[in-house]
Amino acid sequence: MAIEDYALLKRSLKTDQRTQTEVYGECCGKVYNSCLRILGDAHEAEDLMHEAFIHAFAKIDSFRGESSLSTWICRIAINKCLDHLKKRRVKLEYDETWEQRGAGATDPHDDSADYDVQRIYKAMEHLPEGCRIVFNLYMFEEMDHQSIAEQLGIREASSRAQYARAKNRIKELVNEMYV
Amino acid sequence: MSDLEKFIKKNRDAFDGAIPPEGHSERFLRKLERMEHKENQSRQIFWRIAAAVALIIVAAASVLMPNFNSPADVQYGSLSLGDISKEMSDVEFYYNSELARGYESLLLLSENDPEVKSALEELDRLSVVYKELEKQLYESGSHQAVITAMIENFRMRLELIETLEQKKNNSNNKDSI
Repeated sequence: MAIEDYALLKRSLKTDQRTQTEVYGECCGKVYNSCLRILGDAHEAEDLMHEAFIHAFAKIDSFRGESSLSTWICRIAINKCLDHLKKRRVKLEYDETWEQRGAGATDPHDDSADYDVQRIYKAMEHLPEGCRIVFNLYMFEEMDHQSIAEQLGIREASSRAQYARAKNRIKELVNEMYV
Repeated sequence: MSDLEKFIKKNRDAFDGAIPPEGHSERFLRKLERMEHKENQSRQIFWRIAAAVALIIVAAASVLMPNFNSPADVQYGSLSLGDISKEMSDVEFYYNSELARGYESLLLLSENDPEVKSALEELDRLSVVYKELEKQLYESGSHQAVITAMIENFRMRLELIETLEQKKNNSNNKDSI
């Protein structure tokens, strides 16, 4: 995108409702799915998605174009979701004893299951909330364990252990669905 | 990387298949409009406060500095508020912008509407009075009473427009019901 177009887009996004609704229409699917995976509730996900877009349009000056616009809005939405969970004082189940088990909990021989999207999605819904959040942030939002630990206020080792545990639990659940 | 991770990476887009609840776009639009309305209101409040503060400053300055009123370098037969001080220039700018917006919205309503027509005539009359006040401001050496009258003139014109806009909006709402 030419610098002039980029500047124009930023200006329009601040004030022009038509541009705002166009960008919303293009990016809402991706942002909504990120929110839904973290929150697990469709209405909360919609609310937080809306907040993220409104925040993004108001603060568009701080968008530097280092990532795509949708990725930037997604990141805002994820932060809002995590803040929301903190405010709601959800007891995130970060079982510290998993740290000792650590990545060793992962089956090194890996998988026998035939994966499909629906089954994995279903299995993810059955993970403990904290575990599900770590899995989503790492796998789908491509955050590293250090960033996840900072965001969630847990240890990096705990994030790794949660992730390993989540993977194993998903495999177990997917296998159970085939029985 | 495990098979599970490989599978998710390979099919990443398929995991974004959930659709937001029905009516999400309309609800978003409403929130967006509410937000914009709130911002406009706070901007207006800010400018009104700024205008009031500026008025107080000028009033105080004209009392405390009696020799203030001597625009020796002005070569015109009239003075605008903006020639007096930076604060007055802000006040003038605020009212002029609001009036320009108001005129535009009145003209959109329809020049043929008798109420709009009469409001436009009254606005013209007040504008003529304002021009006269600009002359008096020069001749009086920026007398405080003239400054107050000029601001009052601005205020009256803006109020006239806002009252009419409000009235027309209300009648439009009733029509649409």
